[in-house]
Amino acid sequence: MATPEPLGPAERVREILEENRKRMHPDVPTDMLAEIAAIEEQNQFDDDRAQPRREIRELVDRYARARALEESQSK
Amino acid sequence: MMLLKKIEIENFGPYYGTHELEFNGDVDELILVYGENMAGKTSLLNAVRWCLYGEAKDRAGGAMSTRKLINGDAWSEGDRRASVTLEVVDRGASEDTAVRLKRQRQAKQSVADPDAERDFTTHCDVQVGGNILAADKFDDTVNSMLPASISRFFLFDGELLREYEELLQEDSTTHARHVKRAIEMILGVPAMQSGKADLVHLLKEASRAYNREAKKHADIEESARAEEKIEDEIDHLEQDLESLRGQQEQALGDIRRVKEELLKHEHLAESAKGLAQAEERLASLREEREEKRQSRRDLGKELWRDVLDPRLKHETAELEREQARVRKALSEKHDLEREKKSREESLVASECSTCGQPIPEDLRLREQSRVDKIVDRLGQISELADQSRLDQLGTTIRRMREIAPAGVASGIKVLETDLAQIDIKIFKEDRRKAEVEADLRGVDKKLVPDFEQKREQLSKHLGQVEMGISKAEEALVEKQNEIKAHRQAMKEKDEPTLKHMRIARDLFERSLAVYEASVSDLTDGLRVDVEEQASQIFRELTTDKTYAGLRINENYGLTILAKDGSDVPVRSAGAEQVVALSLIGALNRLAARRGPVIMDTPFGRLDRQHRENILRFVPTLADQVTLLVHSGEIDPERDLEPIKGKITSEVEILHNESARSELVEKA
Repeated sequence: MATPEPLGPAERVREILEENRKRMHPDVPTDMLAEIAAIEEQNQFDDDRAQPRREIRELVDRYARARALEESQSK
Repeated sequence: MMLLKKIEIENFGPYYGTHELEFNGDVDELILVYGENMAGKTSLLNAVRWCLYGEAKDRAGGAMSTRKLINGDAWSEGDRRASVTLEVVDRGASEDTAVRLKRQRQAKQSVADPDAERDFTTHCDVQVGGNILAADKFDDTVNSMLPASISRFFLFDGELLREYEELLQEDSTTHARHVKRAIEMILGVPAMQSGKADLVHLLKEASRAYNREAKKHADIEESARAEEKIEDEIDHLEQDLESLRGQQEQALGDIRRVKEELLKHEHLAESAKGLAQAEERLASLREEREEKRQSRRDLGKELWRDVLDPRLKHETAELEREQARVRKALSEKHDLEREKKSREESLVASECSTCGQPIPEDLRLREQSRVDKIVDRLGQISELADQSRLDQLGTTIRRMREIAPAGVASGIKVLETDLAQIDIKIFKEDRRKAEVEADLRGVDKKLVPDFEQKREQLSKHLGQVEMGISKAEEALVEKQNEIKAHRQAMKEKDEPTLKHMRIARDLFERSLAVYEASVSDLTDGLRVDVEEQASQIFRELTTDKTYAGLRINENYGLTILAKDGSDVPVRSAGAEQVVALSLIGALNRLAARRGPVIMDTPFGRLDRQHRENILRFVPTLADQVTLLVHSGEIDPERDLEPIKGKITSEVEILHNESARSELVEKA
């Protein structure tokens, strides 16, 4: 029987992150983690980390603002 | 995914002037480039590598100098520059982007006799989608398509195969760790590792920002300050931990090196022991030889007896015969004298002593006649029946027997055989001793004790470092728990800015926890994938159907498995090459980036069946494969049948009389 086609590295990383997210911190947004993974995948061979860090910082900030707003509105 | 469209070479290696190699720039492309040894196959591979990364490799795997790269004829004519231009397609998920990369290196006008690297300058041009970018974007553009760190899996030669074969044989060396890192790079592990490192950095940043903001609020200021203080302590602890881990790594490396030295020396210690034993055996053999020689000399003194032997034997026999005669005469004399005495006594008496009857006269006369005959006989043997002669004969015979030879010559012969055997043993032992002495020549006798002492010191140091690490880790956990307590105290503060910053910090913290847990999950899963893919490829490539597959270890080293699941410990050079190709094939299937594969002389040590299997496999290795082969590896008429429909173009490197190479498309 032929071995099934393996997942691409990016898909595998996302799949593992998602499994651990569900198990450990289901409150962390799936999309946010997937977007962090995409940024890291894009920049994995760069020694200069300033650009990916800036992108992740902005991304998390956006999710944090949305959640803060959501929490305020739900009160 | 990067695909080649065109390679343009100018004054590079054996290529004088400008030469081009065109591709379809599409998937499922297989190009065969034929060229004899020294024609310029490796230079073609080097041209691509040099254009992308600015480095070309010589045959030993070292970096080639620019002076050697520039074509000799062009140089002689004063054209002291070389350039390579690559036109590629960067195929994205939704669209293709045309990329043009040109690297040129030329001698500085001001230098009369350029040779060192500082005597040359580099010009890099990069165009993406028809737009000219600044030269400093060249490396970024290359990096986004085919980073240098994973290029070894795409642009590879016999050297790469050898590196992998070494990895398969020995997985504990520095070199093996280096290859393991490269493998993890191509498999995309850095995406997870750098994600974790980035989140550590961002969490710290977010946490500090939150505390700065919290200090502005009187009710939680104290907790914020306390947390800030703990974070500073954590920073120090982390720095200490990093330094200790560096020391641990250093100590482990040093211990490994000392152990390697000791292993080397273990062999020398064995040799020293062997030398002492050889010397002991030699001394004993020489002593034995001397004893045998002495015995031979002693026996030699007795050899005269062997010369006298026939005469002695004859004389002794004569004497023994005489002795027998004398003994017989003496015995007869004794018997006769007794008879004479008895008869004379009868003659003196007048009647028989038994019956008392008077003895008749005729009988008396017969008795007298018998006595007379006895007296005559006694007279005859009186000379022979000589007791003193018998005694003399006995003494003489005994003496003659004493001087008779006791196998002197045969004894010497046995000794000669023994001595010849001892000489052979001494010769062999001498040769063994000379070999061991050659091993030990120039070896410092203090080496082993010094290394053992060093190992002991290092182990002690490592123990201290590891204890320090353990303490620092415990302290870190303690500090992190303290931080949690302060955070709990500050959590109730529901001021909008603080709330947003707290949520951001918590998101970083939780994302980091997810990443930390995921790194080992990824590497474990990748090893399983590599093993599965490599095994599948290996089964396609190997001609030995008793092999079931491959098993991977921590460092991506692969062991061949037999059908019963046992390891196959010994494998041929051809099998090593097939295992290495299986690993490379698996890595390309699982790679974090896809790109064109250029293989230089990949069939060197393979038999015909393996070559055929690999040729069938090669088109599946990557989307675009270029094979650089020589006539000794592939016979186009005979070997290409299995992939005939898959070859998209064939190019020949012609090497003309003036040692210039050119690329010619085969009809």
